[in-house]
Amino acid sequence: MGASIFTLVLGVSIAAFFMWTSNNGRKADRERDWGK
Amino acid sequence: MKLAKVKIEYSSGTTIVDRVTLDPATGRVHLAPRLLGLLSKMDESECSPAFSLEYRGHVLPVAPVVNGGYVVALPADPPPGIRQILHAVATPSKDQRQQNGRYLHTLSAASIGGTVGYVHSASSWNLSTVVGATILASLGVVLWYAGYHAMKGE
Repeated sequence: MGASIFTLVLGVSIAAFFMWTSNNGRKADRERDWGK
Repeated sequence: MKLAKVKIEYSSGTTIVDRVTLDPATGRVHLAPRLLGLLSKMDESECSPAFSLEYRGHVLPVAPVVNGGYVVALPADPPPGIRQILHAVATPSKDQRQQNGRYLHTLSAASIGGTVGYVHSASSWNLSTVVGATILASLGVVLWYAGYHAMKGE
């Protein structure tokens, strides 16, 4: 059970991290294109 | 003083592309008298144009100031050292987002494949097997969605 919870936390953390970086990257692209 | 490329677009479709001098300290834009004359001539028959300046890959809007001349708000330089590296990781480019999306889809496929292997290797169904298989399958879906989100083109 502990391994399952660890897998769940790790997987969700990886997904959340890359979703966060994607949003940051899109925001940076918009600022680069249109100005702040 | 630095040289920078400017683009002046009018609603009629007329577009002027030229180079100007830019003071990076103040953001002041210095236009050649020839270009200033052209702008005043165009103002007689055109609406206000969209005036943008290209600086270090950024396309920045140029605004006129009350006492004459033009000014642009320059973006801040990226932070030095380790913060610059972290900033690069935290703000990936479009191609890097595509790669991140592919990586997430690989992890998703591994989770789905792991679910199938886990279920087939279980000698009997009990609560632990069901919970483990459910978590792996759910992660496959979550990671697939995260990869899909990262690959979304704009």
